[in-house]
Formats: sequence, C-alpha cells, structure tokens
Amino acid sequence: MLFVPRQVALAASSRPRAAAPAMAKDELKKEKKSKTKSKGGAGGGARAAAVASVAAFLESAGFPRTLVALQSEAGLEAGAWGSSQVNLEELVAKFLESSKPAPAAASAAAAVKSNGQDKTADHVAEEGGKKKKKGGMEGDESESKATEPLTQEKPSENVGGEAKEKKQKKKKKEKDSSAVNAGSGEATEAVKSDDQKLDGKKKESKKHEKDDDVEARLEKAELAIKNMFEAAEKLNGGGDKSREEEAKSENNDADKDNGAVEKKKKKKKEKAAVETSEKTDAGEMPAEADGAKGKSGAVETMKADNEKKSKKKRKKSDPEENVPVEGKEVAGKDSIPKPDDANKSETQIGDGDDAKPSSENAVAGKKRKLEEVQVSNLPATAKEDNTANQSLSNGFAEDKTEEDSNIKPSKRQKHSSEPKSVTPFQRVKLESVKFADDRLQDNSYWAKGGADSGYGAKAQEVLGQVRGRGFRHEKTKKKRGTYRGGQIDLQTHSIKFENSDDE
Amino acid sequence: MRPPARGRGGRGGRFDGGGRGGGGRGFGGGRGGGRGGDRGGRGGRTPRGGRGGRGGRGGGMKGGSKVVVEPHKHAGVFIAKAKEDALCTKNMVPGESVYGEKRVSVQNEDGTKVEYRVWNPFRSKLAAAVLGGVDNIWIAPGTRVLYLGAASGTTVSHVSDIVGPNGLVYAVEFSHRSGRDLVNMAKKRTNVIPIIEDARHPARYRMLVGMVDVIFSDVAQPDQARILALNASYFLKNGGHFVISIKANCIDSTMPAEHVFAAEVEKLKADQFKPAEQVTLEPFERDHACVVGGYRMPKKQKTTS
Repeated sequence: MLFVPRQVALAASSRPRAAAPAMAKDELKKEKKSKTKSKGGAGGGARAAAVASVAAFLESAGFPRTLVALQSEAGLEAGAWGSSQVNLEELVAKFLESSKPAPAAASAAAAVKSNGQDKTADHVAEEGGKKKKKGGMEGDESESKATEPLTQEKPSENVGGEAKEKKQKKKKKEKDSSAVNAGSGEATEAVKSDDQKLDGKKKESKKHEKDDDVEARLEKAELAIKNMFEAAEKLNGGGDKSREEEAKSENNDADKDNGAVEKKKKKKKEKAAVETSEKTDAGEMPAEADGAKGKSGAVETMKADNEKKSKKKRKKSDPEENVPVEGKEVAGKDSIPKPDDANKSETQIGDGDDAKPSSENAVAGKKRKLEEVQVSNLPATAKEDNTANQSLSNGFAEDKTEEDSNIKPSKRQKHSSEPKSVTPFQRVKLESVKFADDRLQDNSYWAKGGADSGYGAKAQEVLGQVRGRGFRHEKTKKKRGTYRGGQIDLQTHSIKFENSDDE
Repeated sequence: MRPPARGRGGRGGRFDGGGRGGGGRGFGGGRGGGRGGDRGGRGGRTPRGGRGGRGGRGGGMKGGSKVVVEPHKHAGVFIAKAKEDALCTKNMVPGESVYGEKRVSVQNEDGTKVEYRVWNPFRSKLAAAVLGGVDNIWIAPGTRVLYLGAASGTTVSHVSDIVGPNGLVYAVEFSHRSGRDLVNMAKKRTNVIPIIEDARHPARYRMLVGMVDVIFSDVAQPDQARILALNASYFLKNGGHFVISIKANCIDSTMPAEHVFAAEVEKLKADQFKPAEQVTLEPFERDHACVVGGYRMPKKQKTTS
C-alpha cells in the first residue's frame, strides 16, 4: 500500500492543495467537499450522479461566496467551494438544531440564522421553506435536488424519514425545530410518492444517496460545529469574515440564484415556516438542480466522491459523538451509511421500498430503517473493518483528510496510479527527449572532434574495453598520475547549443 | 620485510607492556605510522622529480632537464610540455602538494622559480572538460567561484590556483569526512572558503557566500539541476556562468546517457540558464558530460563569445 500510495498520495495531496488556497475557509470547504466525495465514491453510477448533482447544487449555492471570498480562484475551485458551502450551511443548521449544547456553535448558528433571515427576507418564504427542508433533509434534499427534483423527493423521503427521526429528537430538544422538521417530513413524503411513481431507478439511487446523506449529516454536523467555531473565532477576532462573507454570498446568491444561495437562509427560515418551504421546495428544487448541474462539472463530482469517502471515515468516528445527541436513530443511521457504501444496491433498494412508506409515517419509516440497518449492518461492519484497515494503512491519511481530505482521493488515485506503478519509475522520458544537436546523441569519445589525436585517445583505448568494476580498476591506475596522453590541443571540441547564439 | 616485522610484533607487545590485545593494537598503530613515514619519504621525492630525476624513470613529463610550461587558452591553466604534455596549474602554495600530485617547477629567465601542479583529468572533471575541448570554463584569475560538491578539494585546489590570490572559491561539501580534507586544504589556501553544508539549502550558508561569477556544480545528485538553480538564484550574478558536470547514472541509470543529458539541459533552460555548450568527459569519466552556459544572460551578451 505505502509505495504506491505515497507517490499517489503526494500527487493527490498536491492537487487539492494546489486548488485550495492557504485560507482556513478554503480548507474547511475542502473538508466538506471531501466528505461529499467520500459519500459518492462508494456508490455506483447512481451515486456518482447523485454526488454530482449534490456538488452542483452546492456549487450553485457557494459560487457567490467564493466569488466574494476568493474571486481570484479558479472556476472549478469556486464551484467546489460552493458545493462545500452548501453542506456547511446545512450542517450548520443541523448542528444548531441537533446540538445546542455547544455555546459557540449556538452563538454562531444564531448569527448565521440572523444573516440568513435577513437575506432570505428578499427571497420570500418559499426559499426559506426549501432551505428549511434542506436543513431538515440536509444532505438528502440537496443531493436529490441536484440530481432531479423528482429524485430529490425520493431521497428526501428516505432522508426525510431519517431527518424526521432526527428532527423529532431535535424537536424534543428544540421546540422550534420540531415544527419545521415535521413540515419537512411531510413535504418529503409527498415528493417521495411522486418520485417513486416516476422512476424506480432514481429512487434506488436516491436511497443510496439517502444512506450517504445520513453519513453526510453526521459529517455535516461535524462540519457545522467546526464552522461554528470558526465563525465564532472570526466574530471574536472582529473580522467576522466568514459570517459576513456568507451573508454577502447568500445575498448575492439570492440575487443571482434565489434557489441555491438561499439554502442557508432556508435553514434559518425553516423554523419560521415549514409548510411553505415544502411547497416551494418541489417547485424550486428542479431549478436549483439545473443551475447546480450547469455549474458543477465532472471534476466536482470526482471531488465529491472523494469527499464522501473521507466523510464516511469521519462519520465512523463521528457517529459516536452524535449518537448521544440524536439517540437510537443515530446508531441505526451510523450502521446504515457504512453498508450503503459497500452494498448500496441491495440495501438501498430495500431502503427505497421501505423508505417510501416510511416517508408516509415517519415513525414506521424509522423502524423499517432500523431493521434495514440491522440487515445492512453485517455487510456494513465488514466494510467498516476494511475501511478502518485502509485508514490505518494510510497512516497520515486521516490527518490529511481532516485538512484536505486526501485519504479517499489517495485511494482512488492509487487505483488509477497502480497501472502507473507497473511502469518503472523514470526521471527521464525517452519520448520527451529531443536533441538540440545530432552530435549530442552520441556521448562516446570517438564521436567527439579531434578524438583520434586527442589527449584521451590512449585512455579510451583501455577504458573503452572495460565496464563496471574493470573501468574503475583501470581508471584508478590512471589516477596515479602516470598517464601520458600525448599532445594537448587547444581546439574546441564541445557541442554548442543554438540558443546560445540567439543572444 | 613486513611479515618478519610483524613477527617481531611480540617485541612491540613488549613496548606496551600490557595485555595482548592492547599490545597488538599498539603495534598496528606503530606499523601504520611507519608506513606513513615511508610515504612521506616518497612524497619528498616527488619535488625532486620536478627537478629532474623521478626515480628510475627520468623520462617522465617532468623529465629532468627541459620542461616548458605554456599557457592554455584558459587563463590560469598551463600545459607542461616535455616528451608528453600534462595539464597543470600554477601552485599557489609552492612546495605543497595537495593530494600527492606531481609538481613541476620552472625557472624563469629572471631566475624566479614558478611551481606548477599537474592536473590529473582522471581525478578532476574540470580538467577532463578542459582536455575534452570545452570552449570556455569561465573560471579565470580574479573570478569568484562557488564550487558545489567540493569533496576532498582536489579540483578545488586547482580552481584555487586558477583564480589566484585575487579570486575566491567557496567550496561547498556536505560530507564531513571529505570535508575534513577540504578544510585542511583550505587552511593553506587563503582564497578557499570551505563550507560544510548541504548544497540543497543555500540559505544555510548565504551569510558566508557573496555574489559569484561562476558556479561549478559537481554534486552528482538526481536533482542537481534544481540545486544549481537554487544556488544560482542566491549567489550567481546576472550574466554569470555555470559549469555543471552531469553524471547520467545519478539521474536515471536506465536511460541512455545522451537522453539524460538532453533532459538535464532542458531542465537548466527552464531555470533561466542558457546552456552554451556540452562536452563529453569520455574517456576520463564514464557517462559524464559537462555543460557550460550563462545565467540570466542579458540580451546583448558580450561574455558569451
């Protein structure tokens, strides 16, 4: 593992690092991206598409922010940021709802909410409702939106069920959030019904997405916490850049793209009006998805996959933290996401069928999910072990993932690079070498001018006959100073480069 | 002779008067010392060889009576012409031989004696490049040279001879073992500044090195082009020159040497170097080439020619 991974990892790390600036915000965004990527990585084509859609949606939301914060950055990077930002917003909202305990997070969330509300005011309650749905559904809705509005509804159902469970817990904790969650759950149910009818395949994919979403949620919660801390730090520092930027970006996004940018605001607004958001979500979702798709490129999807993988790892570690907050459901979710990666098709399919009814009745859905989770736990555990081993083998990968989410990309790159490793390492590529002068193609002594009568002719006669140890032996004899080479000519026998004549 | 002497090692033990092990060791040390003395005697002979009779073989290049030293086209380099030619440099420290090389002393018309040291192309890549017919080594009397990969200082001593008392040689060597010889050599040559540091980190010796006219690089490392560029960015003046010895096997031993050289030249071009010429170091070195060029050359470069 180490050999290939090292070089690969270096290459992989260089890519994301190069793309990402040194700013802490960027790193955070990258982390988020990596999480999303990690989610998508395990899934098949459906997952990739879902991931791509999610990434696109995120990008759509994040573009303005990136523009504000990092206008100089490349478009791809900006898009990637946007995707991550969406997750951040969702995560923040989730985190705020789920974990009020953290004072800093709560304060940050409050600040974010205030910003979001101000911004959202312009874009009406519909967007807020969408955002609310997103906040409740978070990863699921966003992913589904990115893929397709209908598909979004499907995942939202599954996710919605989970989200509802979470939301219910959260509701217990937070009275305000409960209403929003219920609303989102209902909306997701309606969407699910439509989606199921439309496309069974999409549902499956959505289910996968949902599983991923669960993991994503956990990751998002972590991210949200991180964000909150960062925001708090920024606020304390006086810069308030993150919040301000976010707010600006949200405003900009709202102006530019009412749907995508407003997600954060929506989360905040979700508390205010859940029902409106449900309706608006269905309508707005497609538009947002389209925009997100257009913005997000294939590159983003790849990143999203990598991010998802890293997120999965993080989720594994994170679930424990989240479990106490969310309760029983969290445990089930934790087990579910892992199987999703490995056995997405089977578990997801089952989930999709179950999820539809679950969407209708959140409680029933939860139970079903739990059952499914148990079934999926077996494969999931195996998968987890594998992933754990991988993470261990990767070594610093975990640390890197925290920073830049290199672990997953490195794995993928490893696979991609394995064929490369088959070819021996070469510092010089024969194909790329071009000689400035034909004479340079022969480095031998006799090819040089004046060789016949040169000072080294006699030595060449001896040394040209031997190689390796013999050469060294003969040369050592010459080093003693007894060599007599005849006349030394003052002629120039070097090969000139033409470029030297240019000047 | 020697084996019987060893047999007498028992006697040596007597001197020590200690245990067997200690005695043996002490004896070995004594023998080594004796050998060294023997060599010293030989070394003493070499100067005599300059005068004329080098042992049984009087017909050597220094061959006794008539040795004519002519200047090479490269300033500071000379050719001792006798029966056979030999490359040599004017010895900055007359009477001293750095690495056991032979010396040739010539008496001028005015009676002053000038001593030259023979420059062995098998020991020095710069000498090999000179004999290979390089157009310009840019190392001349009065120039300041940064020498990367000085090793024990054999070539450095000749560069020191070339640049003369008005020039300066910064000799960078990372190995302490060979750096020890380098420092000892530099003790007798005021124009050599030994630096025992990694040439990859010129910032560590930036306080010791001023702006130089020429960088000679003989580091034989895979990233030697980068090392050269790094040092050039620190110390080499605009319009300065570089002389780099490229060992193909150190960069990629699986590729033909010629391709490696071409790739290295391309690398140098990417680092603001203007390679001007390349010469093979055959037969003195295997799969070596020496590339000479300029650095950040001005548009109208007068120095190139």
